[in-house]
Amino acid sequence: MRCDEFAALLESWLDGEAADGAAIEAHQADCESCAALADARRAERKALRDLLEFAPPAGLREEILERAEGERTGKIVRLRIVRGKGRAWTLAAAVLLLALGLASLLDPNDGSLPRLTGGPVIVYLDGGWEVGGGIFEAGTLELPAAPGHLSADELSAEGGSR
Amino acid sequence: MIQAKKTGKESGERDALARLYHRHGAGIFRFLRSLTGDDEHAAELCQEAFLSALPALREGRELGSAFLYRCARNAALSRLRKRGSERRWLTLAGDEPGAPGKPLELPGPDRELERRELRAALDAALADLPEPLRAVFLLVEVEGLSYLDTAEALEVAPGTVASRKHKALKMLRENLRRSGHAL
Repeated sequence: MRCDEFAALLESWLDGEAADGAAIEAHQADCESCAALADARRAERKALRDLLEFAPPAGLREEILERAEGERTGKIVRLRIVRGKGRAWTLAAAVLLLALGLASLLDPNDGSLPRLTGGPVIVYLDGGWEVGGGIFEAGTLELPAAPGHLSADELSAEGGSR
Repeated sequence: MIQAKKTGKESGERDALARLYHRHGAGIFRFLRSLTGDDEHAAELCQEAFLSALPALREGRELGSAFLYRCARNAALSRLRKRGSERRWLTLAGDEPGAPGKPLELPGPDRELERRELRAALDAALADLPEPLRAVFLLVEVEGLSYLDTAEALEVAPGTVASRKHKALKMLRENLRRSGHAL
């Protein structure tokens, strides 16, 4: 193997993808400059990995498990709009969510309404309205279905108590 | 509030999700953090990624790293599209020549400031890569995925992985060189 061939195969070898690893290793053992090149590249990869080592925040696991549980029980609801479709329905749902949120704030102990602790959040994003749901601690809110506008996929369970 | 007693199925689903997070959570978060350059976005997207894997988990499918990284990347792309950042993320740049530099020297623990600066420079250099190149680079170089798994995660042909990684490395070196750092 020549040095230029070694250099061409070095990346795939270090990635564990080289077909002829034995030949590459043999050349590295015989060629000082190619061995130095490989060592430098290994050090570079290690430095990159060290610099890009980010630990997940504490509590992320629990948040995921909680949101999954919320989705399963239907306590966490998020409504998404498909751009250009069903705006009227989404806005109607937004108004309903907002009304429920306000009502539960005015009479939080009544218990007859789902209590919103984290929403609703209604924002105008990139030409469309987005309604982010809150966490309903008591009761489940059923949003109106509009065939052709809001599908089950669009009405997806998700979190949002930020 | 009355807490409903969990059934075996519910508890099994929670355990399966917890196991999945235990196996892949750190890698998925790290990937998303490097992909987005933002801790908070990465945490949110990490949640999205694991939640989007729930249906497959419920079906009892064995979920590998390629599947989860695909969920993670799709969540990131979906978020960024919504924020109108398509151009930065979705454009594939040409193959710009990059000069090979000296190996990146990592400052020791006593040089934390320098290390932070270097990390910021690397974040910026990564952010300047077109997203498809950045994703390939991070999955192969940092996460250590095989070309095949990377191809599956990014829904590209396996042959595309090596060429994109090659381009990414050249561009990253050039971006770092411009900011006065060497890779």
